[in-house]
Amino acid sequence: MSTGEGGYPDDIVPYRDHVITQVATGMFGVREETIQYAPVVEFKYAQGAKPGLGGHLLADKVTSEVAKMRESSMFTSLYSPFPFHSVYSVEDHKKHVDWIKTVNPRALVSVKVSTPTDVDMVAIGSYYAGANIIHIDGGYGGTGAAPEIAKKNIAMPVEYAIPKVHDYLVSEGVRDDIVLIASGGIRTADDIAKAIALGADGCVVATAEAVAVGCTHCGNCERGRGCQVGITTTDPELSRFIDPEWGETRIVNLFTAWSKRLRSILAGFGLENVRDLRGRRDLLVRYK
Amino acid sequence: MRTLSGQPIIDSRKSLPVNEIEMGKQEAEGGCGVVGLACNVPLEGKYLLQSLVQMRNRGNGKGGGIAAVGLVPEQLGVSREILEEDYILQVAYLDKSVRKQVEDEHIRPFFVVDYESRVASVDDYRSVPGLEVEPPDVFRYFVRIKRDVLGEFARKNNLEKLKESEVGDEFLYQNSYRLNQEFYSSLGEKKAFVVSHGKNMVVLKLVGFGDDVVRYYRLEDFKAHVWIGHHRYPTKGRVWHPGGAHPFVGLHEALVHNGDFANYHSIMEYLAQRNIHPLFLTDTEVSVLLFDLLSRVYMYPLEYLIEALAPTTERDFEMLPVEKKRIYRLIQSTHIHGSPDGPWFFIVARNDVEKNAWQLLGITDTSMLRPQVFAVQEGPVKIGIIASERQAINAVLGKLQEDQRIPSRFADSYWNARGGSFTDGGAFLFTVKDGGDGKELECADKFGKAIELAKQDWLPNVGSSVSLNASIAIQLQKGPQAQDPLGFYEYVRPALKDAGFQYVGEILEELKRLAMKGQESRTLAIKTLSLLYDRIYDTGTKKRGSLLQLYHEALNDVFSSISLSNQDLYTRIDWKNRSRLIHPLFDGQVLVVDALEFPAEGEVSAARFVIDAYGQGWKNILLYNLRGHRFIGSGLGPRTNGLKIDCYGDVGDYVASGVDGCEITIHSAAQDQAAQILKYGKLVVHGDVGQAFMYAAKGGDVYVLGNAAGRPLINAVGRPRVVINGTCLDYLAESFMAGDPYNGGGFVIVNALKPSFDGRFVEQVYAYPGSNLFSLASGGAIFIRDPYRRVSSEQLNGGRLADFTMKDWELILPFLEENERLFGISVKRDLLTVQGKPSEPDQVYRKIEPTPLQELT
Repeated sequence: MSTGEGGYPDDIVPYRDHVITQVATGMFGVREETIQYAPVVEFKYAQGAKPGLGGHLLADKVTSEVAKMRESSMFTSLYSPFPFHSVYSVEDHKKHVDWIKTVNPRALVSVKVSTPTDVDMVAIGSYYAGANIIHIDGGYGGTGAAPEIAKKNIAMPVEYAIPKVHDYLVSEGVRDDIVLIASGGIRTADDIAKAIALGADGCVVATAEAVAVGCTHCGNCERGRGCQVGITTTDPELSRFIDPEWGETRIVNLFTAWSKRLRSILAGFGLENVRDLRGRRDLLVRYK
Repeated sequence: MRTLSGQPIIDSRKSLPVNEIEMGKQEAEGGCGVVGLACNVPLEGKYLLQSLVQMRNRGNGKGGGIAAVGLVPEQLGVSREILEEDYILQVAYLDKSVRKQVEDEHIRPFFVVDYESRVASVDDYRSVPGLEVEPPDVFRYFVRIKRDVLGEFARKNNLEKLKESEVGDEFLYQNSYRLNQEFYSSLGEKKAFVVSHGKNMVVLKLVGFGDDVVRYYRLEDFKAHVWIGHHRYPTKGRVWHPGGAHPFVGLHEALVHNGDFANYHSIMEYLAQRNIHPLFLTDTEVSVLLFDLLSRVYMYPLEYLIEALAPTTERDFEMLPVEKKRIYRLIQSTHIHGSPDGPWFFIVARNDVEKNAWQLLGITDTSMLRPQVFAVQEGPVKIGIIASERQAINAVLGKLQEDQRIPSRFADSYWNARGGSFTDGGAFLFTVKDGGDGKELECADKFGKAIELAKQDWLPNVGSSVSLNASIAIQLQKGPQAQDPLGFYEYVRPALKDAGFQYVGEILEELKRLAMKGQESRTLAIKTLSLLYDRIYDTGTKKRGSLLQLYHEALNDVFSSISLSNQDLYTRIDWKNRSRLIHPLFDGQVLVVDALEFPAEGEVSAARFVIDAYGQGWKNILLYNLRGHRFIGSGLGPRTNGLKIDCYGDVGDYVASGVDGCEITIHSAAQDQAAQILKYGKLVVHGDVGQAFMYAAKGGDVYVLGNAAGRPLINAVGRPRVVINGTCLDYLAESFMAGDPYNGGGFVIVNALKPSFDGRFVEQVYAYPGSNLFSLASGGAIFIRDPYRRVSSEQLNGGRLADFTMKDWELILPFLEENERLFGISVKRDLLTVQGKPSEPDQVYRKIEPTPLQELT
């Protein structure tokens, strides 16, 4: 799992081998130790659903817990700018990657970007700067807090971006030296299979897991007291709506169901390993 | 300005062949290291070498190049007349077999070739370490256009009213275009291209690093008045061509570029409307085509050219005089689509043929998104330098000083340009022109305002060691000042003002002798030398830069005299002996690290060595001979309280990033991204800081003697408490979220002072020059020293000016007192005195606090 922009709560430190630290543009929760814990450090250069906008955590959501994690004061609005103010050029990005490698030489570096028309250039630039993973986030995903107009009108769907990046990395001769991860609207096991067949090594899912624990996609994540189902809220009362053990079961069920479906897809193609599905566009059909 | 319109020239290009498929940008780059220097005497290429080597981490070896302007005729094998009259047409042959064809089609028919030769290179390119691709064979032709050819060209294209030199320039431009189009851009296999063709100017480039060019083409001893150098960082494509490397040429100018345009397509269209079609399809090529269009075709004076490229906007536009606003508005309306949008920084080397002047220009984009530093030193020669990083400037000066060509490795002045501003226009130019006694070098901003240096003496070439004067030794050891560095410093201060360099040298010899006498005296010597090096005081008729050279040498001698891995208070270690690192032998032992041969970054960098040393238990680490080493202070992990790090030399980017508890002192300027995400601890900088200082910092007690560049404290949160004694370019504390300053939150104090050459601290003209002060902040406060009430609410954006109260004074006073202790900036005499009169805090300081906006809550 990734910490996202918000910070690295102490509660998850025991699980640190499974936690990706995200270095986002506001660098909240980014401290030397959170970089040193992480097996993978993820630079969030942009989100598929909020490019050019930046993030804004409203003051009344900044409770003492949040303030502690983000190292801020309580009830002060918190901003994440849309660019990294220290990275305005590819050699700045390389410096940025070198910084992480100085703090934690063993960490893998992942670069998360949205999907502009030159996403292939972004991918190759990241590779040469030393990234191990390129994570492209298409326009169909996005937090409920992103404005509708942004979500539906910016960046390209990840289905176009995956083959573009995959093919380009192959032609540059570096495809096997970097991992390509896709996200942005991955909702079913079939979506995962399609993404891999298009050229990805794997997927990241977010909204699907929220739905698994009861998200109704009402889009009110940030308003008032927050999520009515108790997921994206810092309100102490609302956050008790979900029993963690029940939630655990639901998510395990989700991934179990997906893995069964994925296996049956592979079996149908006579493939033994999901890695063999990568780039197999011949196995995809477009309905006309 | 041209009295006739440039339209005939534009029209004459209609007949030029255009590639059928006009593709978009072919190369993605943006990353680069750039450096330029200009001197009133010609300098050898080897002086560019070290700065390029030190900036290799800004390139990736896929392209490098240099340009040299203002050459020496003897070195080229021609007479002075030929050098001044002829065009130097240089053609790079990637395929040697096409040379005859190129010459027969594009050179012999049109030009009288006064001299031609192959540009010298090493015999085997593989002997240059790291060069993987054979560089092109370059032939250099000194040419004049045949009279009948020129006449025919003028007649055919309706250019008869123009001056002969203008027609000639255009003919050459078009001829080179045809050559490039035929032998380079239209082909799959690139065969040849014109690498430069201006007068008194050469450009050389290859697939490799910029310093590889100097080595391969044997330019170490090649002399020129103006040099520019570049490392490229292209990322697209597997086959690299030297044609894609920078510099690119227009006609009499060469340009290197650090950055990336967002509106390449718009600029292509703007150029296409003027019959200009780029061939190499990179940002940089269109930049120089724009430059050439504005300077040669439209004949704009430089000020207007710069305005067309980097328009003045927002409050800066409002602050301009009325007449300038009128003209600038016209320029902007005409040229806005040809103005590059995005991060960019240009360095241009130019031969202003008409004025017989050679120029070096640095122009920065209006949002100040790329780093840039300018510097100048006046001594037996006068030299101006522009670079992406300050350490690259010091690398050039350092090598010149080592060779005794200049007295000091320190410039007399370092500064940043403020892009698109009314204060300096975001551009500075160094011009080499004829003077009373040989050539002279002038430095001015976009508006022509000259950079004046104080007329002081520089260090004469002494060379021999100074013998110790016994009475001085005795004098200096009398009394309490012998035990206390600050006392010692105060005691010698008058001598530093009134005495000559000789006397200062003797004081330093005494200090060096002291350092050898024992542990306490070594401590005293180091601390005293550091004070001399860090503090600002009246140096009388002696240049501070020259004194710094003496202190720097003395400190280095003291550090180097410490023996390796010993059991004393100070023990030394260097790259060769790094495996001998062990734990400290007792509390308080100081590890002195000679950083010179450590890599600037990577797994075995100086920064990683500091982490290892801390891991071994070292609590006192001193680094010297830093040469752009990055990330010093990173990776130490949480809770490093009790650790002290001192940095001497040129510290690189990202120093003190992520620090949580320790104390870092930088005995000179810091560069970009210093103290980002700083969590807790103390940072003291005896100089300026660069871009995005303390970005997303969470805390820290920070004291900066000089100025900050763009975006200091942006997105900082929690409780940073910062004193900046200078000011900054703009975007100070944007999106600051530092809570309630009276109650565990943070704030920034800006004193807007600068040291004058006589050691006093004087007020800067503008307490805050920019138009984005404390934008959209949700917490914290700014306390700015602004006794003349020049800061206006126009400069704010979602913040407000508030009354400065005694409560505020009580909050900031302890920090100003610490500031006084560290830098000698007196609260009473320097801060609370205005034009000689003592004043109350609320008459001097003003407060800016966040406005609780509906949208922000």
